Amino acid sequence: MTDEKMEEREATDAAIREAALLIRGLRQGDRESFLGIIRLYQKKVFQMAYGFFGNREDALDVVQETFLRVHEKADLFSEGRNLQNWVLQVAKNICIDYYRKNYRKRKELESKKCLDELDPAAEPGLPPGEASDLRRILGLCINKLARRQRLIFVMRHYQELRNEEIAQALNISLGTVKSLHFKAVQNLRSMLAPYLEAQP
Amino acid sequence: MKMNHGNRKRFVDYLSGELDPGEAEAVMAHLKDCPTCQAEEARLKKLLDAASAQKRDVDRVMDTVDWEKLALRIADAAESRAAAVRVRPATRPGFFGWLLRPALAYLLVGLFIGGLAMFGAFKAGLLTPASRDGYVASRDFLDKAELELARRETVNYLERSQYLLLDFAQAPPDKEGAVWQKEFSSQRAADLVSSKRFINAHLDKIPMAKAREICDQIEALFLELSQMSGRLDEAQWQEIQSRVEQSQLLLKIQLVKKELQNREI
Repeated sequence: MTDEKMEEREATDAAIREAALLIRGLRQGDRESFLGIIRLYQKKVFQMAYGFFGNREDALDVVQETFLRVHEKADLFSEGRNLQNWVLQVAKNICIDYYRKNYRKRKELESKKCLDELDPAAEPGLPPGEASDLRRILGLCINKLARRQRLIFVMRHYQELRNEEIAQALNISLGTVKSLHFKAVQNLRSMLAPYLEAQP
Repeated sequence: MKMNHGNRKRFVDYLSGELDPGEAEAVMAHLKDCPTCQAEEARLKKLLDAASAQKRDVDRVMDTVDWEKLALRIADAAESRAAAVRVRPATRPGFFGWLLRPALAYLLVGLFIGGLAMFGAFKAGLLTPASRDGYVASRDFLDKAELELARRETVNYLERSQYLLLDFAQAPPDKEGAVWQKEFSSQRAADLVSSKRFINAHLDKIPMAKAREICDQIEALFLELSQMSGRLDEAQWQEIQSRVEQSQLLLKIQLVKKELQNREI
């Protein structure tokens, strides 16, 4: 086993031990343990939710709802599991529920519009003039991807998770993660074809 | 390693740093010689760079969030939610709840006992209707059917007799034809006599004395005719013809037949 892999293994074991301590504390009603869990993973959950919805306020709502559910369902977490994966799985479910409740109609309206008709500068979340056109249009196109493709693209590029971590968090095979990521890239590539050709 | 430039999946893995060193070398070697793939790689690189740039935008948005405050707010919300669950009193049945409980208990006991009783009754075969073989019909229906059968048989008998008597009445004058007719008529008369024996039982059921009488007259005549079969000379033949004419048998048959036909059930 190489040194790099040994280090990685040790880091994982340490994370599992820490997670077990935090969860035990949470189950006993220890506020500090719960705050520790929130501090550890709130940014990861935010990245996922922001990538999913492209909206700061919705992402913050998802972060809050995710940790409320973690607090409520702490007894269901089996020790020895990766706490980050469990929290991300809860976050994914919250994202899907939130999307079903609030975004389906909006998405239907948006899909009726052609991509060219959308004004990227008018999109919320990004200050005008700071990001390039391609970046802004990419944000719109990510929202047009199928739900699982979008989730994997966001986890891979915004949360910078490895394929193995995504597979564990979403409880799917590594092959499925690779295939969905490839499909997401292909779809984005064809949606953005004119921009990719035109940009220097 | 040989590389097919149609396999773009490898470009994505290559650009994401997901390939083994050997595979990455093969992709690089292919890219050196293939301008089409170079262009494709450039496009995908641009796309992934844009995604990385977007990640930086997300980081910038994240800098605007007060994470510590958010963590405290979430912890407060979780604690107040948990406290609300603990404080919520156990639901107690209201006035109607207390009132209905015994009624519901009696109802359940009743249903249980009723169910057991039904089960026992079914097991004992008390509720199973006795099985009957064949077709079942009411007495009234059977009487009507029998009467209708008798009526039809009688009408049929009268009709056949009518045709035979008409043949008698219109017997041809030539000798050869008359002989054939006589033979043939005698046979038909014998058939009708045996039919009459069959319908005698039915005739009792028809409430019509006229039908019975006329059928008896016809039977007597046909009996005579069948007994004389083959030995009927010209004089006897004419005598029978005149007897049929005098008794107006054909007319009577017609009238009775009509009356029977009108009584169809």
